[in-house]
Amino acid sequence: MSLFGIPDPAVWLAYVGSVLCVVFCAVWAHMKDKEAPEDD
Amino acid sequence: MTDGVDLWTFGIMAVLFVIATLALGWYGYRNTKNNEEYLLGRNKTNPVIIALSYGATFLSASAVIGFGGQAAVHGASLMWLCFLNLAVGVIVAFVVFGTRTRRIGRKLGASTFADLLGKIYKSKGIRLFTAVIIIVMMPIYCAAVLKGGVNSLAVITGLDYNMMLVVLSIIVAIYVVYGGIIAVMYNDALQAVIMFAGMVVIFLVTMGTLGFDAFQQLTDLTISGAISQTNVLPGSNGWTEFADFGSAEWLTVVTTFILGVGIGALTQPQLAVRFMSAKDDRTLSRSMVIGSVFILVIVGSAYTCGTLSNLYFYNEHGMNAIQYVTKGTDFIIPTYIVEVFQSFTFGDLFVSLFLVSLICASISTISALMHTIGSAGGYDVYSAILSRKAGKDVDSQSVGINRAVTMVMMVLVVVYCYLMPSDIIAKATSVFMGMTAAALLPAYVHGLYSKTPNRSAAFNSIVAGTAVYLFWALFVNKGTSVFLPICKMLTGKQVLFDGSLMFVDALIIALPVSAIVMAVSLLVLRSKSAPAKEAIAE
Repeated sequence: MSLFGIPDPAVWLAYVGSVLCVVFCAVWAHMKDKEAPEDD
Repeated sequence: MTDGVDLWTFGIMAVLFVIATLALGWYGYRNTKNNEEYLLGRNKTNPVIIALSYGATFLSASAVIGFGGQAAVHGASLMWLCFLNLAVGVIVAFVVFGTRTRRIGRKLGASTFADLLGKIYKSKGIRLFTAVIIIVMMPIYCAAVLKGGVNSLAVITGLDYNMMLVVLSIIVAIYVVYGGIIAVMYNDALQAVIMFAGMVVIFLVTMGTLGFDAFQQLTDLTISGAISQTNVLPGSNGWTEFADFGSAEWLTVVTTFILGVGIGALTQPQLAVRFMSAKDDRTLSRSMVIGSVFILVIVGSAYTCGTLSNLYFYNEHGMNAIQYVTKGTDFIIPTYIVEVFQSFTFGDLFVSLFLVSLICASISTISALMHTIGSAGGYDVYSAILSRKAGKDVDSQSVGINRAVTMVMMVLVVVYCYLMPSDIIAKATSVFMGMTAAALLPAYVHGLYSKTPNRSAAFNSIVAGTAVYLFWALFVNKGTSVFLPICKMLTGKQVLFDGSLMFVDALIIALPVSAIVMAVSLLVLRSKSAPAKEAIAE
């Protein structure tokens, strides 16, 4: 199954995974912002 | 290779850049009143500065021209390094390590990574050993980054290599020595913005020139036999497919490039201090988002354009990238940039922007490394000397000593540049990152998460990881034995064993050994030796 013209999923999954990492970071930061007050 | 490079445009952009850099150096100097501010700059930065500084420090010329060049040879499977940079170098680093590092560092009053480990374990030995690893190994990595950046710039612009090496080194030395970490981080942020702009432009131009179906074109040409990979090991299957599992090519790509750098990112002292400089946890989580976007764009663009440069060189010259660029992998990206922009209006401006981006990529990392090396010598090692003289634990408060050590080490790094072989950036990056991970990762994790960190177990783990890594890197792995040909001197052979072992990176062996030694030591020692008297409470 090809994506972006890359035939091997073992390769294009790296692109998909990288974008998902950025999404994760955004979600994580959003969750942390809602949490406990700042310390120190 | 000066065709297509307008030295006037480049010169003006470079001068403006240097003025901005020195101005930020001056800002750092004015805001550095004591040793802690020189080393850490705690509470003096914000999420944007921390994120961009982290990203720019993390990614040097090695990411763009070193690994970008390797992507041109080995293909898009190197994008897994981008994924690991994000998953491990950002997410795991910030979420698992960052918050605790910040809190524990603040609680213990630690100002460097070695200081942090030393204070967690209440061990001058661990602090000193960590500082020595930094002082011995980091200059090699630093020299590789400096050499790579200057090499490319000198070849592209036609300017004298020695002059560029000296000028860049002096600029970095000035703002690091006088401005401390505040100057380093603010300059990192400026450099990150320039890098980001440069790589976005390069990516868009690549897609515009080759078409958004570029990967498909490259795949079709490879299948038809019109173009094929060269300079790769047995097992490769083209630029858009992974190599055969377990083959020499697979082992090299996965263990050296992907795992070696991906995991090694967790124990980089120059990155850990950025966690410690944050005011609170919220600052860190915001930095994480900005940092991840930055790294995705820079690295994703470099590896994609590196791989697709083969299509460009085939279309223009009928051969793949490494066949056309005979100087070596570190010159593929620069050659590609200069040629692709030649036909553009304002092409000179874009080439100059890329060149300044390259300078930024190099010096953002070099400045962080030099600051870390100077801190390791001028603060950690010097504190050990003072403690020995005083007969009690003393932390040096001398900014002057830090500055002096940084200057001396900068000179040493320049000397290393003349002694190192070429095509070294990616390998030197892997070695440094692998070494620090193998030596320090288990001890770092244990120290952050254990309520009663065990000093002896940590020390055993650090020594075991270091020893195994050095042995494997110098006597077993073919790629890294070139750094110091001791095996050849002693045995007449480049490495001890033939077969697949010579393609396995030292990290794959040394890190598990280090972790096992830590676990076994904990089991054996816990009942015998007294744990650290106070638990590190949250």
